[in-house]
Amino acid sequence: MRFMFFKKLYRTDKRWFYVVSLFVLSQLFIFYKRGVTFAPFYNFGMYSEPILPAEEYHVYQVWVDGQMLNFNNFSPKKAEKILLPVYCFSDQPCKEKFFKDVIVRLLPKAGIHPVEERFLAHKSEADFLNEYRGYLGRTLNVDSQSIEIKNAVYRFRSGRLHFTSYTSLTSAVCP
Amino acid sequence: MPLTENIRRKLLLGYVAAFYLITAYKLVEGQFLSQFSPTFFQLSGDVFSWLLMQTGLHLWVLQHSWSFFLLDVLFYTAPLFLLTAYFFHRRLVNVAALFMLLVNWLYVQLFVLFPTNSIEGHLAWLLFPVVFIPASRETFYLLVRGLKYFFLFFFFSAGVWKIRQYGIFYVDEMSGILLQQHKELLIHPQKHWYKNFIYWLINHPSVSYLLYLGATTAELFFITGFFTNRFNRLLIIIFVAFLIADYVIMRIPYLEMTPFLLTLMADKKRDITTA
Repeated sequence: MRFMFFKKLYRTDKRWFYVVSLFVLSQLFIFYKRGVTFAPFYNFGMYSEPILPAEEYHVYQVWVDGQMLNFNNFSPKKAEKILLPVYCFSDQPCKEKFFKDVIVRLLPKAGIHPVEERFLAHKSEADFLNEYRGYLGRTLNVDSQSIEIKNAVYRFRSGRLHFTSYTSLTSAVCP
Repeated sequence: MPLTENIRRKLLLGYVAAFYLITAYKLVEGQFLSQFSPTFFQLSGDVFSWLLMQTGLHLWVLQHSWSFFLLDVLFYTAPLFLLTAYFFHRRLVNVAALFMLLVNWLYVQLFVLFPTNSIEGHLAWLLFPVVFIPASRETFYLLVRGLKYFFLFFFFSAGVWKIRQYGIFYVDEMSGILLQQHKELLIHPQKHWYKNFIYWLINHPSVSYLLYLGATTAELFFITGFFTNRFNRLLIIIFVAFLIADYVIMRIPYLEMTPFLLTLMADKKRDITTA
């Protein structure tokens, strides 16, 4: 960043100079430290770590009226709207671990004692499926009773994904 | 030479136009909070969101589903208040901008606490209102430049991360990303041109790696914007190409980043008085 910018800002408006300087320092600190973030300071490192083809993939299948949804026929936003709640639900055990390992350790240092039920949804599979059927029924305008979700395991062999088995909905491996 | 009001008027109109074009897209795609009507929340790694969660506001919102609609109304009408203040009550512009800033923060922070989207794509809404707060044209223009530097950093650092985290050093990287990103599409037994296209890229790692390398190079090129305005048009073209490629190849619509383009278009030289 050109230092002329800071010089001009200092001469024009000292209060904004301090605000902007604090903003820049905070962003650089978050960039340097990696780890947790503090809005609006984020690290833009998506797809930067090595992500190589794996042997096995867990894939969520959504079935309506006995037919598997073909996400090729949905817009990216619509597909995300359908799948994201399932990912969030299945990620619950990892979030519980994150809460216990990180939040419970960090927030008390700032004098804040985190209330667990405000951080963790603790949603049972039966409750989630019941709510999700209603949500998806509204989103796709279909009969919610005909909706089913399956966590399928696929193997990547000979350049294609091949189905091997089904597993429980929450079988996420926490990083 | 002093700045005229032209540049601020153009930027405000550009921002509002971009906001409502994106609003129309989101409405069609069912992306309003009331169209989601979420039933539970998620935990993120953002300390700011932890502070919000500690208040329990998100739980109150979930329990009162009419508040989804209220939040939508507040968020999607806030730019109209700013526009009205600018053209009819100029002295209230900073109040309207501050109001929009607070509404945007509240809305975006709550929106991403539910299973809807990640927060990084909403940064324009969190930061842009700030430039309309100061009354002075000079301060306004300097803040727009500051926002431009942030936008440049956003892209440039994305390129640096790919080196820092070593993703760039693996030829199979893009094949792995495509498998991870599109696995739900790839497993469907029906034939589809898009599925075939993605499988082709996965099975030609050299070609897909070239895309990854090209994207990283484009991101790193954004550093030029810190030193000269000469490449602003090229940066705009690169950004638009990036948006299209992200949509087609990754199926990630980054439309909500487009307001940042206005910071590359704002040109002081064309908007100063010579009197």
